[in-house]
Amino acid sequence: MNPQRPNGNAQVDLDREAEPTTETGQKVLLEIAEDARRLKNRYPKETVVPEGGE
Amino acid sequence: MLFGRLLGQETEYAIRFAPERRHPGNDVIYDALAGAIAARVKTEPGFYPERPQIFTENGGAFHYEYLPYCAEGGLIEGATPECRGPAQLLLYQKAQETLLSQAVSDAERTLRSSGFPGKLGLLKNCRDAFDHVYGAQESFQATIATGFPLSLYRLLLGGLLPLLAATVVLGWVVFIALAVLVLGAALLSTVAIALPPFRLFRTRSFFVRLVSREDRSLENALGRFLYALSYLVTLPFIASFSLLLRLLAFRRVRRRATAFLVSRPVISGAGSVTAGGEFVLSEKAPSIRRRLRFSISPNDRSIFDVGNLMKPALAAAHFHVAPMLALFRREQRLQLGLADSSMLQEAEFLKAGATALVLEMVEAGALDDAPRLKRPIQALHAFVSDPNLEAEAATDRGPMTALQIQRFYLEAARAFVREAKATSMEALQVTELWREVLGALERREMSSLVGRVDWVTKRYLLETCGDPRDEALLKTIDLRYHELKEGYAARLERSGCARRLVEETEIERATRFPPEGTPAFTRGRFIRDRERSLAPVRISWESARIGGRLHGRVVHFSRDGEG
Repeated sequence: MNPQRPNGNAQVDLDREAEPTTETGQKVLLEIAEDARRLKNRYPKETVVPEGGE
Repeated sequence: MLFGRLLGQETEYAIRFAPERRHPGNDVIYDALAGAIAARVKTEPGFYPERPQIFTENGGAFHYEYLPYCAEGGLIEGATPECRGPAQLLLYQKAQETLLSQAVSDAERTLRSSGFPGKLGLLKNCRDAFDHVYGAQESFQATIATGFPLSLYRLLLGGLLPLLAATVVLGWVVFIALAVLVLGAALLSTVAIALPPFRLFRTRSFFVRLVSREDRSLENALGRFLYALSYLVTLPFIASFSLLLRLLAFRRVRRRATAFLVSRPVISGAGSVTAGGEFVLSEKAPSIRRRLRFSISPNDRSIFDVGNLMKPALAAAHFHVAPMLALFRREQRLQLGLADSSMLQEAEFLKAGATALVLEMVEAGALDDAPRLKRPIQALHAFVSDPNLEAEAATDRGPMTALQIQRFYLEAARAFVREAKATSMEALQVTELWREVLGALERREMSSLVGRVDWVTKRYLLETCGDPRDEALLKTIDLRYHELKEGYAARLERSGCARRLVEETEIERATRFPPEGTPAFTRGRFIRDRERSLAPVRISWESARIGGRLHGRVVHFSRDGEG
């Protein structure tokens, strides 16, 4: 971060790589599958919003 | 100048609270979150005392989206400061999410100490397990009309002022009559239940039931009644104003950009599993019913949501005429109701950047040959119901798929950016990303878009981690994808499976500093620099009131962020 740079003069870096190792990808997928199975009986009910938002 | 216009986003977050004992109500959770945010950054309360809202020192805001018929079931809404360009918008959207993510743990502790232990989470999504729709809206500065149509718009808007005045007077008469009625009933019931014949029943008074935090049925019934009443009272004005907007507002944008917006979910949809188990590309799109909003009902979902123009007119009921007068300006806020909440940074950047570029082109007259859909709403529903991306819709150029329509707009945008007088790196980045994503979709190289396009990523997770026979599991993956901090999109990002376009340090800084050259800059600086010990302040998007309502001083924020 450059403190001299104007506030919020944002730039994005499109050249940055997003290359996880296969091992990392597999680990995250396993975590997600396990988490979803653990929560499936209550999560959809806990996240209900009354009709008519926005 | 490309990307010179202001843009911003409003995002509704669903609240998930898994109580260990009892639920405190979402309004109490909002208070805990707002308190936690105020402990981290400087904040000031919003203009209307009856509306729970805080403005933060980066120029953005949070408020409790109160549902009049379910006071305890509302949502948290975050509004970014006004930004210039998609990179800035991405940065401030992430800053908003960071503030909320940090506040969740603190709010959990506050709730626990108030007797409400439980697990708190916030979902940045637009559709729940019962297909109730809420969520995001995008805003872009745009020209409402030019030349003769602008003069006619102003003339007709002026002609509506007597009707607005009559609506305000009628509204107050009804409100006062109702207040007298309710207070009278409360007083009578309080006295009555103390009398011997009724004391035996041990009933609670009307007043006690109305203010009860345990049983809010009476409060909600009254809210529902007031909501219906306000709908009826304002109907003549709102219907007339809607007709005026339909006739003259943003006509050029509606004509030239509708096909872009209708096909846009292929690059920016969040994806969703409907209550019927069908996978659709967008959370919001299946609920869209018309091109332009016609009423103040939240169920009147439209591609172009002009509710933001109706609200300032109705602010006259609170004796605030400045918002109404601002409706005469040439430049207005174009609000898109057809907008999903993006989780992935590339998706957020591309959605805002491509849309802003299309608006630039429309206003520059560079899209006069854009395809026009014959039945836009049917086309939208057909496009988002087909993850194979083969659905076609009738246009004035014959049947076209969503990808073909996007290809038309992309090529027009590339030529527009190439020929622009001043080169914009940001615009080049947008068109390059758009080209990459669209090309991969056309070649059906879906695996290359995991971690980059939300609906593709969510579908991949559903197929990899779900079970097609287990609807509850699929819906859990669909919903949990959107949770801040612990959600699946966040996990993909943390593990490097989804690309980050902005630095964490920049995001952290954006939670405290407003974007320069925007109205948010003066608003944010005002909040940052104010001495805490001075007179109370209330902030709106346009101004700050220092001191009381009658004797206070009003400071207007500069629209270009200077002064």
